[in-house]
Order: sequence, then structure tokens, then C-alpha cells
Amino acid sequence: MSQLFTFLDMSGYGNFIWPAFGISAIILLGILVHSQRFLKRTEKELETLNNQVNTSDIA
Amino acid sequence: MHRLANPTRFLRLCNMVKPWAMAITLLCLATGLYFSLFKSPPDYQQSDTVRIMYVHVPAAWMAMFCYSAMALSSAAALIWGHLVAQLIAKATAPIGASFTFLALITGSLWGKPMWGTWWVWDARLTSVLILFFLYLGFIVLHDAFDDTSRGARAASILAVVGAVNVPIIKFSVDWWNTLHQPASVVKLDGPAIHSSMLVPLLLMACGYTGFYLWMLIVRMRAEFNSNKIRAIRIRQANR
Repeated sequence: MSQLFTFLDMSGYGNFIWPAFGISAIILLGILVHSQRFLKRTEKELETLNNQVNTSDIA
Repeated sequence: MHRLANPTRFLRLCNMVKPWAMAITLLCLATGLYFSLFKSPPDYQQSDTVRIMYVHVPAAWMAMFCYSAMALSSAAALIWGHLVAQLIAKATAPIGASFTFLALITGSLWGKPMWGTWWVWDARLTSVLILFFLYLGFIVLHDAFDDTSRGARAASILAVVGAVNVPIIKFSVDWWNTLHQPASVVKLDGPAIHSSMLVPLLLMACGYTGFYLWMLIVRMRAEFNSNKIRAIRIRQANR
């Protein structure tokens, strides 16, 4: 347990090191989620529009 | 190069590259994090704060790399009018802005314990802040016009003009007296950093580069879809 605390403490600089790694992870995950959602949203919208176009062409 | 201006051919290439980009990202980031946090030694002067380097430096490199990619593709879009080049610039901007934001925040978290301050208006930090504003300007300008082609053109001009900031960032530590340390990896006489720190740094840099490629491909596909949606809507409105 004390080994874990020593590791997390990072020679007394844990308050700076962990936020740096944490913010990096949050921002990278944020871009990943935003980009995937952007793609899914446009795919869905394009599919709906294509269906509308096909239906109106048949009509 | 011009062969890739064909959207179908470009998307086919993207589909081929995407699994590799994902694999490189996950593998390099996992091993890079392991080496950064567990294997690399503390610095004799900076102690464990040197570990911030493994997320700060790759983010700063990517901030400049993404801007260079954005400026080059904007120039290609202006000169040849290629849609693919224009969309590469548009898809790169939010990714590059995020890397720049990360470089600024992690740099600040490293600066406080080492310099005794979160921020200082020196040449390196200020020029990176300007880079962040250039990214934001590009993103805002792109969507500021009803006519999307005018917005894209204005944003492309901003990206090309703003490219002058990239060498200023790189050489700011040599041209001016700054609190920021000079280059220690990308140097003419080789890196001045021990391999125990260079290996995790390069692994993280590879991971960040793979991540950029992966996100670029995802966003490019979304941008192509957006373009098709806009075209269908215009066709429907003109009927």
C-alpha cells in the first residue's frame, strides 16, 4: 500500500503530474467521442435523405 | 498526389489506413504510458515532473504538425481547388486545436513546479497561444458565411498566412531569451536526451501521430457525408 502511495505522490509532484496525464486522456477521449458521433450523425442523416430521395423518385 | 484528389480513391485509401492507425495508436500509447510512468527514471534536476514531458512535448509537436498539414492542404485547396485538400484542413483544425490546448495546459502544469509560475509572456508560450487562436479563427471563419465556399476560402487564406507562426514557434527559443528550454530532441547534432527518456517520448509521439491519422480519417468521412447532405438539400430546395 505504501508503495502505491509513493508512486502516486511522485516525489511530491503528483498534484501536477496526474492532472497533466488526466487532462490529456480527457481531451483525447473527447476528440474520439466527438468525431465518432459526428460520423454516426452524418451517416444517419445521409441515409434518411437518400431514402427520401428514392421514395420521391419512385412516386 | 493529384490522384488522391478523387474523393472515392481517397476514401478507399482511408479505409485501408484506418485499422493501422488505430493499432499504432493503441499499441504506442499503451507501451508509451507504461514506460513514461513506470520505467523511465526521474530527472536529476526536475525529479518526477519530467514525466509531464511525455504528454506535453508530443502534444506540442502535433500542434505544429497539424497546423503545417492544415496550411499545406489549405494552400492546395486555394491553388487547385481540390475538395479533398479543403476537407483535410477542415478536419484537421479541431484536432490540432485540441493538441495545442493540451500543450498549453500541460506546459502550465509543468511550469508551476519548475519555474514557479503557471504562465509567462515569453516568446515560446505566446507564439503557441497565437497558434491556438489561429486554429480557433480557422474553425470560426469556416462556418461564418452562408456560402460555404466563401467561408472555406477565407479560412484557407488565414491558415496559409498564419503558417509564418510555425517557424517562429520552433526557433523562438533560439531567437529570444525565454524561460522555456531550448530544443533537446530535434537538433542538428542529435538528441541531447538519454534513451531511457527518449524511447517513451518517441512512443508517445508515435501514439499521438497515429491518433491524429485515425481521427482525421473519421472526421474526413463525416465531412464527405456533410457535403453530400448539403448537396441533396440544395437539390431538394431547387425543385
